[in-house]
Amino acid sequence: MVFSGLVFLLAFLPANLICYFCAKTIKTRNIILLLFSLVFYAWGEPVYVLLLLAMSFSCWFFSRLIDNAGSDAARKAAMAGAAVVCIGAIGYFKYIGFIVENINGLIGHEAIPVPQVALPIGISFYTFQLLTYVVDVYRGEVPAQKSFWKVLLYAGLFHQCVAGPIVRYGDVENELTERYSTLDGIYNGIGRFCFGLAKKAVLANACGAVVDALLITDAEIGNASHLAANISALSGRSALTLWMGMAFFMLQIYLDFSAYSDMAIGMGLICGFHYKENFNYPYVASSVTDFWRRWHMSLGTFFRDYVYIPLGGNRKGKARQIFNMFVVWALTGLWHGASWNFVLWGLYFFVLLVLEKLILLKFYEKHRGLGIAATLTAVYFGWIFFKFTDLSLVKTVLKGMFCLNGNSFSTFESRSFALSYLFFFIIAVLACTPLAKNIGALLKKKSVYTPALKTVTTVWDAVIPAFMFVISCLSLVGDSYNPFLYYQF
Amino acid sequence: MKNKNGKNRKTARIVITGTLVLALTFGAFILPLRPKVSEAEKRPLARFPEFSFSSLFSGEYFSGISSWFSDTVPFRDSLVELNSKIQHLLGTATVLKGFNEAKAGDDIPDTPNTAPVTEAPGVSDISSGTTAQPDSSTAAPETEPQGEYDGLVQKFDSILVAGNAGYEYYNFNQAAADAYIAAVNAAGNKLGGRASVYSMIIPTSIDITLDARVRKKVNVSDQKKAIEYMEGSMNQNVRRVEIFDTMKAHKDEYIYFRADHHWTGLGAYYAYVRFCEVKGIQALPLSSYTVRSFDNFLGSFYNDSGKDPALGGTPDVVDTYTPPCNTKMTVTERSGNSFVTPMIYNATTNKPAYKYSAFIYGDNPFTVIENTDMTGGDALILVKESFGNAIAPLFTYHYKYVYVVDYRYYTGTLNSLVDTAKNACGGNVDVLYCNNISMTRASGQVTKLAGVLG
Repeated sequence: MVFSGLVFLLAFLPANLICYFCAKTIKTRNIILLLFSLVFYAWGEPVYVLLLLAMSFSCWFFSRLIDNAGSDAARKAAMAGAAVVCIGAIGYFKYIGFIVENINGLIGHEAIPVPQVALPIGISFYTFQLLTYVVDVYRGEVPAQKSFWKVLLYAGLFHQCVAGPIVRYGDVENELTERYSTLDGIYNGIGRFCFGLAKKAVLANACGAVVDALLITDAEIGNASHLAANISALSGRSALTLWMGMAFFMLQIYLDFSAYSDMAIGMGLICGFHYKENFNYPYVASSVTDFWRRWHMSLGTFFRDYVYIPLGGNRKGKARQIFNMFVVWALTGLWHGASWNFVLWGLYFFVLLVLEKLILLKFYEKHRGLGIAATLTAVYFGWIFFKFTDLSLVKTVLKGMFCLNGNSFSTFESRSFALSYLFFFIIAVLACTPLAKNIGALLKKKSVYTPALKTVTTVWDAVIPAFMFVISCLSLVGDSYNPFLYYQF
Repeated sequence: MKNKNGKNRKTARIVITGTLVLALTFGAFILPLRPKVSEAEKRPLARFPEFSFSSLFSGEYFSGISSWFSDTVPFRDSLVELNSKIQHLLGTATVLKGFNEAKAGDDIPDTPNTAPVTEAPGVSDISSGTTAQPDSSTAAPETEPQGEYDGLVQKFDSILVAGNAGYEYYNFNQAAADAYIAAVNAAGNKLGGRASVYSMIIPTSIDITLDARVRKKVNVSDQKKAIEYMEGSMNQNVRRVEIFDTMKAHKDEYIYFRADHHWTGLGAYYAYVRFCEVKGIQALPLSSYTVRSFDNFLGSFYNDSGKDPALGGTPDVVDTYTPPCNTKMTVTERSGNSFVTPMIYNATTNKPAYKYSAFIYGDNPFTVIENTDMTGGDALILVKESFGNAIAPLFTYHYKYVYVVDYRYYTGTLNSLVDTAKNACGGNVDVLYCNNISMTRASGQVTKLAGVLG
């Protein structure tokens, strides 16, 4: 099930909230959340819901072992057990095909048949959550949870189970047993959810349709047997078309993914959970370093706390620090998909981050505008590696952008397209900036002294989430284009 | 006081959103309101999936429920239309199914195709003396409007919308065109002794009525040249009815629909006049027809453009022309059902998308129109796709029988139909291949056309 589907919006979520608020005790509420979460997950993965259960059970079990271990060796063994289970599961389900293909590639012929393993939805997210939980228990940062059901609720809660944010156990530990739905929480949660929904259903989906039209669809990109046709299709595109296509992809991926986090955070607030922010307007970042503090923050902190710092972080000299960064960014890339283009995408950022650390950051401090422009450009080109899983397509697009495919700079169609989408493009760009939020805050401040303005803002404030909900539902009726990009990770 | 206000404000949002979501949820569950077909999209909607353990385990069962739920929302067609209005406001409706940057298609050869079944292509037509040269009497000098085109130009998949009219892109496809030539030539060779075979390739509006300033920016194939190539490659057993210049001469008249890809009854009339010239008979003047009109026609361009308001604002009118003679039309549907029905169907109550069906009851595999005023005479076999529907009624004045064969669905063969026709009328038989140029680039359709000869 996806958040931006009518089944979720007009059946699942209302049913969930009605049951939730009819229940009085936290225990019943947890049971309700758990049951709904299992249905939610099983809706997309009727079989792999068992994997979610098994993984949660193992991690709960190992955390109990760590908690009860008599010796350090036993604790270590239990920790290793959990790591093997988590990394083993993600390694098998996500990377086995990739690993085997590369081994075959090294050998030079198909020595091992490539296993076809379907990727269970959200495995990259909930496995990481479970892993952080066991590690935190091992480190003594959080107490081990006695109830298996609470660990399952933590990992499987439909708010964030399948596409993040990667919630840390410590952030919700108390709220699993004691939380309150306050007026403020519900008010803010509704706003956040509806805003995210509109961002997804109205803006991101429209951007996605443009990307599919101007470039080629992900289904085509993923079809290796169509490679020649895809190269020929892309090399026939005018440069303007490719530039616009990638610009809309850049908008789509942010609007889509951050919308998911908005909705998760919003639903959490309604139920009394406080998940950490996952995005902080990454496209206004003043450096690539800054960008990664604002983009998918829960993943960044995961790699910081569980890879970078354990490897020694910046405490073991410059060379070691750069090596540690290399490991982190290769893994970050790989996390996004079992394909070399993602590794390249990660290492591309590694190079940029090292450059910034060594030279550029100081320069950007003095020239903030240049920093923002350079960051946007760097991120823009990064998305090309991200979008096209085949490197020959990356090459075709890059060449085409500079008219090196024998293509023209623009065509009649691309120019008329640019004109008709200009308005929408501006709206989508503004939606990536804090502009609306700042204007809202300003108006609220001003309205204290202006009664007329106050009436307007009050009405606006009360009505706008409902309006966004309706508009979103409307755009989802009969709409075939509606993927959540980050589902695949 | 301030606190209380804040509290009211917050409660208001919660109550308003909550009530709305509950109301929508309630509405979505009024199952009798859920439609089963979409009139606008002309398709049955997703059905509630049947349960099986295999579909449950594969996830198809649940995804089927999701599809059913969102596809059959109560009032879906109206909601989709409302949404497309919003999209047009935002400007996001322009690209819906795909973004085609026009490619000129294959190069159109300057010399005719002399390959498969032809003897001497390009030579002048045998009996009527009509040559492959354009008829200079009907060709109007090309006057190009000056200055910039001031209408709105939008691009939908392979449709261009300029001002309040849609235009379909055309790309020449060498292989399909050669197959088309071969198919018609084969008919000329095979039927030549028993019937006169005619070929008419109908240009589409983009090369006839589209503002020249816009047309020259669009990199699509030159239809005039493509038609000259194809008609020029026909052998001496095929008579060419070249209508490009005829249509061009009338480009300022209402000869193509704005919101649909077909020609109008008037456009078909001019082509009919040209046919009569080639055949050497007297065409009826326009004034002798009974005209019946069906308004509010919003056809394929309107629907394929996501209901572009630029097209929706000026619906088309379907003018039908009935010649002064009595006719009896027998339609055989795809199901094999046969029945008698008027040649011009009363499309007044048809949905806006279906008004073109006024002509000969729409696309059916086989339709026979008998001129009941004539006791004997000739017969015409019209081998057509939907463009043929508009021209078919005009022939009935001259022929005892007009056999309309939609080769896409017809299961018989022209080879035996020619004999049937000859026996039925006792006179001569004409076979007219009447197709719009887009058909000649679609290999699948050309294959069907070739197959119908038998």
